[in-house]
Amino acid sequence: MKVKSMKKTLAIMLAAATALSAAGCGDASTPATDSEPAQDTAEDTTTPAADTAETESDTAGDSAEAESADASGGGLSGSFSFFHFHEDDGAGTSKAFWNAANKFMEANPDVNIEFIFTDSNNYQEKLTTLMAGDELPDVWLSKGDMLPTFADADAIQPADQYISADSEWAGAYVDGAFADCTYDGTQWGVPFQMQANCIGVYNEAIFEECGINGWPETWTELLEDCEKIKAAGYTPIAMGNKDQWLAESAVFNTYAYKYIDQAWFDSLANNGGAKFTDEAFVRALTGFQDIAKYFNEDMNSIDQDEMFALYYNKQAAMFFDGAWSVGTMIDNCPEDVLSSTHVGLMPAVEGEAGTKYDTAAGAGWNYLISSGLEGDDLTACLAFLKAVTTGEYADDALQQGFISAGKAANADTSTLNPLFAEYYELAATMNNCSIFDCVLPAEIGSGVLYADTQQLIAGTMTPEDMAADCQSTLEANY
Amino acid sequence: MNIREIRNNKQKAGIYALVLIPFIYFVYVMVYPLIISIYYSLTKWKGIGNPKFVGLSNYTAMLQSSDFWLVTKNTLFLCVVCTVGQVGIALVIAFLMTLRRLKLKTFHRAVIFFPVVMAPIVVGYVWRFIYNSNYGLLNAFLTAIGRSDWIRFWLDDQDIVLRMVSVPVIWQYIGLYMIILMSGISAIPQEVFECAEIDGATGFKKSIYITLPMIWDSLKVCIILCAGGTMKIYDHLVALTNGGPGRATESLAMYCYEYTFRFGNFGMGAAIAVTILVLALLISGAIQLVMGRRKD
Repeated sequence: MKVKSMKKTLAIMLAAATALSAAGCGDASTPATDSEPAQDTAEDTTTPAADTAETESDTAGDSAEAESADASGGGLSGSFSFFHFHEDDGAGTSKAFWNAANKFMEANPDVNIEFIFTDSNNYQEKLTTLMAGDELPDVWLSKGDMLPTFADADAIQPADQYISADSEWAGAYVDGAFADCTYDGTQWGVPFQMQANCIGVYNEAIFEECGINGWPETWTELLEDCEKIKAAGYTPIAMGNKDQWLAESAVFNTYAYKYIDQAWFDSLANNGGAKFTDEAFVRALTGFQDIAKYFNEDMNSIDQDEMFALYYNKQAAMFFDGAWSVGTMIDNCPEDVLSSTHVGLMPAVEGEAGTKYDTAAGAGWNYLISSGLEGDDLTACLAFLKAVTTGEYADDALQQGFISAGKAANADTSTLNPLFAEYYELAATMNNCSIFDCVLPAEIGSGVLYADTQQLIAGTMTPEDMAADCQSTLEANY
Repeated sequence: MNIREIRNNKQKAGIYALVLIPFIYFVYVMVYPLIISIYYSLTKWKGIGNPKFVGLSNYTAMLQSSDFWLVTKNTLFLCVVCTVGQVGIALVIAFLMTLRRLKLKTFHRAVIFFPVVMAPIVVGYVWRFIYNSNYGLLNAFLTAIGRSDWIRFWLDDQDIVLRMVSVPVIWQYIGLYMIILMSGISAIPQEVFECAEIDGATGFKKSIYITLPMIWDSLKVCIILCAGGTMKIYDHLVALTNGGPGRATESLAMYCYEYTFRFGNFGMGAAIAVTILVLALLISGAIQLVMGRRKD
């Protein structure tokens, strides 16, 4: 009897679970046809920082009302959803963003911003999912390679029409900031950062121990230094390419610009005649395959963090990575290693046209505004975007250890961290060139180029085969 | 309720109405998405705007891609290796579990089943640490037993990496098939074994000539489940190698995800998904055919 009763209870519980799961499915699909599709999702996924910010904005509401409108547009009202990857407890970009965002919300208590957070590693996938579900928010971040998709479908509105109408706003960005958000002659997005995708980070103490006097100026010197470092028992160049992007996007991309130039890349991207199979690009691939012998042998099975660990533990003498690694070093590097850490530009290759200043760099990601946003909501959104990309944000960004797309007019550079100050000086000398995976269609930029570079450095693919593979994929996507 | 208890059409209508509820649910969550996927596989769609009908061009492009054949080969290799490994080892363990002399059977069963309840992504990361060339358990073990010459870069060497990633998958799911097979064995009447023992059958002969034929259907279910499950393999590979080096360990499911969510090519992604389904059905059908005949 008891067993029978237990069975009945179990059956009821299972039936209830099934019914609940069915109900769950129904709820998830409903908002797709709603007029404000992202509303529910936004509320569910609002970050703790946003919660904090909203709470702060509530408590600071009275005082903010009393204050006159500041540069970021006090007295505004409206609401919009904002899909981003700025961590509430992050460093650099995230910290400067939240500082500016919180200040804006304090000054504008009637502006209701629904923050939707997804970490940067999964951001692109989540964005694609929202796009396919017709649940795009009002403002989101996107790389240049997705611009044509959004623009051709009339999903976004050009940002330049609003920025150019405000002379103060239009003059607040550094040169070249809009390169990654320009499509068909129109600047569609609002940039917030300008960072090099490749910078050399090295341990001066290990260099000195190996008899090397400073960062190499030429590629030949770099190869000679690598030999010395290897002979001393260290890994010359740390590489963590498990996730496939690092070797291509953060190292090879800049190395390629020692052989090719911006005009060649523009021609390639726009079907203007340049090909991956061109001799100069194949030479770049060959040269890159040669330097791979100085990487750690497990380069394709460890990730970026494990690569940093090799450097922290003094197993590796240097690595190449994006400028974000400067902030990571400042935050996480052991004190003794950090004190002898310096940065340098990737050396030029003798006999090739490129210089050491040619570096893949740019805004990368940009804020895009939905074509459906209008009226007060749009006005509030524009004021917010201005506040989180220019003015005090740009000054604060420098203090947080990264270079923003906005001009840092009032920043005190004397208070910068010494390592970041070194990078800041170098960045001023860089000749910014397009980042391949921010411009080329994803099938090439984050597809075949990533996968083939991994095989190239592993020695399982020839430069000629990789060039041919990239070219055939590119032609299929023109 | 026994079928004989249905006495009138009202009762029959009630039963059909009850069956209809899960049937509609099944159609909504399984059949409808499948039909939609087939439709999308015939379109060019970037995830936004209206899909453009392109006929079979996604399938043509897919079949002409060398990457597709590479990932299909990888998936079929993993399917065969994991099925043989998981079900084969599970069968041997299930046989051993029938030995009277074996002590602590419950303990052994729990330990072998334990990995099944772990998330595949966790298993992937755990084994990534085991394979790590610097501080990995495997290389440390080889060093400890004096076989440093066997040390390899387990997840970097393109020649061995596919076999290496199959090991955690096999390890994780042995317990699941062991439980299914053990339940099949426990359903065999003890009298059959007792008769065989009187006739002088040994443990090995009992397993081959009595147990195996009598759990044949359970074995078939295990093989179909395992082969079908491995066709969808994704999590382990993402955690272990992310499909690399190159595409050496990329599966069809990863290829589908890549096209759909990284490249935003939903049409091609759907075509790959439909292909996975067709392959899984073909494999299941082939297993049914081969194992059905064996039983006869």
